[in-house]
Parts: sequence; C-alpha cells; structure tokens
Amino acid sequence: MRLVSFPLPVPASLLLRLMTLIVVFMGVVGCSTIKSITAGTDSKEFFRSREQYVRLVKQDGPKGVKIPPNEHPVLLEPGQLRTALGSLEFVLPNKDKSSPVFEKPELDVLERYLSNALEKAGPDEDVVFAVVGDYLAVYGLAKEQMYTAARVFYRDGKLNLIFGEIHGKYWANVDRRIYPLAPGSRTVPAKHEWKLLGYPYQEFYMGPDGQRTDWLVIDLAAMTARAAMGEKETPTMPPHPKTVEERLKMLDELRNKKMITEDEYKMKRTSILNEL
Amino acid sequence: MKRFSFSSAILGLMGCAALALTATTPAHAGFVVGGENGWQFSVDGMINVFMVYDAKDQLQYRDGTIKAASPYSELQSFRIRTGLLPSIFGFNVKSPTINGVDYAARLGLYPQIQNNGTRTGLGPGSPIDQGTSVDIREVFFTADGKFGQFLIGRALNLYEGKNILTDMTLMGNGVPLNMTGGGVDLGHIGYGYTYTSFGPQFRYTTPDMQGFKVAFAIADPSQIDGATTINQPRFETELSYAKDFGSWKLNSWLAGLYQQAKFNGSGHKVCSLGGAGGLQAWFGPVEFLLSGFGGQGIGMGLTQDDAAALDGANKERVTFGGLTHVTYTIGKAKIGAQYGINYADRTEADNATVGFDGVKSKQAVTGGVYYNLTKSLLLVGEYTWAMDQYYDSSRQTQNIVSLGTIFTW
Repeated sequence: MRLVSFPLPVPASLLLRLMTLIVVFMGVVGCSTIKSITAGTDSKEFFRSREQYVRLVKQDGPKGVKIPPNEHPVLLEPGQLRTALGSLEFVLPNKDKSSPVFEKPELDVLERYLSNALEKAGPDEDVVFAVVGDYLAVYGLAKEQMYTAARVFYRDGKLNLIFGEIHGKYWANVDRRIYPLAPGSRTVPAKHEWKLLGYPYQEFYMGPDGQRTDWLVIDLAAMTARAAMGEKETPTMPPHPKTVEERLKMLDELRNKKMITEDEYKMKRTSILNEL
Repeated sequence: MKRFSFSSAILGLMGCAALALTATTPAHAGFVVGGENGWQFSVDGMINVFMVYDAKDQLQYRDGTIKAASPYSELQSFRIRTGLLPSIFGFNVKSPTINGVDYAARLGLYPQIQNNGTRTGLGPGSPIDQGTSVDIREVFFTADGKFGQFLIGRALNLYEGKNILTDMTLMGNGVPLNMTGGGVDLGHIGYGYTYTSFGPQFRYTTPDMQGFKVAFAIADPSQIDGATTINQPRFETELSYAKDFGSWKLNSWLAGLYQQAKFNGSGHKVCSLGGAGGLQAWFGPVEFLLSGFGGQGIGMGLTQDDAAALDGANKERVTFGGLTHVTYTIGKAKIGAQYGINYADRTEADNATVGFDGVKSKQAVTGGVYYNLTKSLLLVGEYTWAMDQYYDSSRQTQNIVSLGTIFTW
C-alpha cells in the first residue's frame, strides 16, 4: 500500500523525465546558440585586459528620442586627451582632499586606446571604457583595486564624459551580467557620492531635469589655449545643483524672453514641481 | 572609493567565500601586492563567529507520544560556532594577459573555530580538538579569454552551486548541524536544496552570450550512498541567464547532474540524475528568490553521498525541494524571510518495510537581520524554526536563535 502523501500533482517518473529533458535541452541549446549569439560581439573592442575594456557601442538614449549625432570620427591633438583626463579630480563626502580620477597606468591605457577608438567611431557611436587601478591601502602596505567607468563622445567641439563610476570598489570575477562595470548613461544619471572638481574649461551638462554632475563637458580648445597662455589652473568645487526656486525663476525668464513656448513652459514647470 | 553599501559588502563576503554569483571562479577583492609587471598576488578572506542557541522538542508522534527520548543535553544547547560558511583565507595569483588569455590561480583555506565537543579539558571534544583540520576547499586555476573560461582544479561544484549561493543564510547560520560536535552549520542545506560540495573538476564556461552562459563540467565522481565502485566521472551542466535591466536585475539558472556507480560484489548499478534551477530578481531594495531541485540518487542533505539517495533495496529514491525568500535592504541593513523544504519520495521497498520510519520532509523558516556596521564588519541576527518529519508520522521541531558577526577583508 502506498502511504506517501506526495504534494506534487505529478508522479516521480514524470518529474525525472522532465529533468532529463531539461538537461539535454540545455546542452543542445547551449551548443547551437554559441556561434549565432557571439558573432561580432567583440569586433569593435580596442582594448581588453581581464575585465577592463575600451570599445565602441551605439549611442544610448531614451526610446523614441533622436540623439544628436556625435562629431565622430575625431582626431584629437597629441597629448590633448591625456591632459584632459589627467586633470580630472574628485572629492568624497566628508573629505577635504581631492584625488585624481586617473593614475598613470590608467592614463597610459586611455591615451592610447581611447584616442584610437574616437578616431574609428561613427557619428552614432560612443566609446565606453572601464579601467581598474591599484590604490594604496593598509597604511601603504598593500593596495586595493578600484575601477572607473565612463561613456565618451565628442560633440559641438567638446569632449563629453558620462561617468558610471569613479573609484568604485572592484570585486574580481563577480557575475558581470548582474554587476557590470557600467559606463554612464545619457538617460539615467549615475547614483554617486563623489563630486568632480571643475576647471574653467569644464562644465556639467545641463539636461532637461537639471544639472548632471556625472556628465562632464570639456572644451579641449579652451583647455589647450589656457595651457598655451601659461595659466596655472586650480580645480574648484562644482556649483551646487540649482534649487527648485532658482529653476522656476530661470524658467520664468526664459518664457519672458520668449525663448520657450507656453506649452514648453507649462510642461517644464509641472516637471519641476513634481519633484517636490 | 571608500564608499559602502549593503550590496557591495555582501558581494565582497560572497566573493571571499569563493561563492560568487558566477558559476565559474570566485569573486574576491582583498588586498593586492605587486601588479607592476602584470603579475599580481592578492589576499582575501573572512572570519565569522556565531552564538547559537538551539531548543529542540523530543522526537514524537502527532499525539505527543515520545518516539525516542533524547538526553536533555541534546535538546537545549548553546554554542559559539562557525555559521554556514567556515572562515576563509584566500590567496590569489593573476598573470598578465598572455596571447589574449588571462590566467589566475586560487588557494582557499577554510578553517573553523568551534570545538568538537563540550569538554574544557584535554582529549577528544576538548578545546584542542576542533574536529576539523584546515579545510582546503579551493585549489584551482582558470584561463579566461574570448573563448570563455576553463576552470581546472578543486572548486565549488556546478550542480546546485547557485542554489546555495543564493541562500539568504549564506552569511548566517540557519539550522545547526551538530550542536555538541564540530563542523559548520547548515543554513538551509537539507531544507531547500542539497549540498553540492567542493571537488576536483574540469569545467568550461562559454562567454557571455547576450546574458546567456552555458557551463559543462567533468567532475570527480561521488559514491552514491553505499555504491562505492565508480568507473566514470560525474557530468554537470548549467545554463544561466542574468542581466541588469537598469531598474531591475535578474539571475536565473538551470542545472543538471548525471553519474553512475556500482555496489561492490553484486555489481548492482545505480544512477544519480538531478535537475536544479532558480530565479532571483532585484527590484530596487527588494530581492526575491525561488529555487528548487529534484532527482533520483541525489539525497536530502549531501548531494549523492546521502542515506536518502537510495532505499533499502538499493534503488534510487526521488528527492526534491525548494527555497524561497524575500529580502528588503534599507541603507546598511537587510531584513529577510526565507522558507525551504526538502522532500523524500517513498519507494516500493519502503512500502514493503513494516513500520518504515525514513525521513519524509525537512522544512525550515528563517527570519534574519543583516547589518553592516562598517564596510568590513557584518552583524547578523537570525531566528529559525525547523521541523523534520518521518514516514511513521513522527516529527521533531527545533527553534534556533543565532547572533553573529563576520569580519571580512
């Protein structure tokens, strides 16, 4: 007599057959899809060392919105990119001292491969990168690994960097499908605590929802000109994002100057007030 | 950047535990030495310590009649022990990229802290008898390239690997294994999945194919309950799909296992055939998990090498189980609730046995709070209720409270 009170509505033999089918299916699907899925995935990779990369990707942006084309390909003056990236500094909350975003080994990689990628990129392509650096820890006795990832493109004569992370803790070999070393995005601002310091030739991108402190726009020509004039630059703290009151006043001014339509005014005003 | 969040801390803990979400190599951060010439040495690890109080009821029938009286010392216990994971000291070597291939090697030592018994003097069960040597769970090297990854050596097995990795009590204690002896505790091993263990293997994992990965392993075989003659490897495979969709993340997998073994003398052949799978998703601060396994010759606790894998006639028994949890992260704290059950089917031989009293099911519920005091220090509080049921309608319940801390580097 069978006494079992089996809670599943299927007999055990059927369960076994089902599992066998799953195992066989996985093998067949896995083998047959490798070629088709991986075809061409790395054709526009300019640098890869373990999980570090420099590669071209299609421009990102909100669905249904046409993104202005980049001025790609672009050939930057020798040393210009290194100077721009090497000058970047950031501070952390409750820290007085700033730190450079990139150290020499990362600059060596980016100067070579980022320049190369920008030369080969199309107008509808961005360059994305992630680099891992070693930073002193345990009172200088050892090092910790940190990563920085960003999206780069050249438009309106300026270099745009959208950071996904600056000096994020690097955990090796975690599943990057879930925890990617993600570059920044035009659509979703990166959640961050770091604050980039600014130079006179740099500004934060002003988006429809306000200032993007993860999106730096660098005027390379102005940078080069100021350097040629021998001006000694000191980075400064970025301006605080505008308050709601300031943004509403700015919106009023734009309407009074007839720089925006009444519909645009109303839509934007509602958007700002919705943030409260 | 010296920032800190619960998820990053857990990631680190999982990493140094050599139990990363990837089915391939362990994650680890730790401290790095060298690297200037491309060769790099790093050290990672953790130590965990739990105060565990376990109160068991007597094994009794539904009407309250005691089936087998246990001594009081086994019904109420307090110990200071290792949780589900032992402590870890991990040593890693990485090569520079050589002809497009990245090589790495890892040695993972897993020591434990608890005494084997309750004596304060010398001899077995005393503080100098931990009942365990240093457990060398990981000795492997990997080769990574555009072709994917080869992992060769001793590492966490593939089948049900992700089931344990996604257990909420991985960084906790869950159900104790043996309160008066040594060894790690169970978490929800046996109460939602079986323990796949670490073992020697050759494993290949494909590259990321738009979120899909397939892994195959030829693994060192295990005896199947009492069937100890083994002349073929164990085959394991896993298909996984994982992706960060921006507003939410998904981790999913299907895994399979196949192996045969024979009984000495009779030559009677038995087979382990198992499937496993799971879905894990994050929606902002909320994480949800549903995982399960099932198969024949798999057992209830230890995969394959388990008394429930075969019946009295040495025929494969079907067992299956599942685990589900929901967690919510608030700043540095995570709270969660988890339920898991394993179930053993009854065979013809069982039915022919008068008064058959084999294990029928093991289920447990855990509520936990996991709080990161600093980026290196996790505080854990758990309450677990567990019940083992047997086919003669007897059962035993236990209530476990555990408070612990995990230091990681």
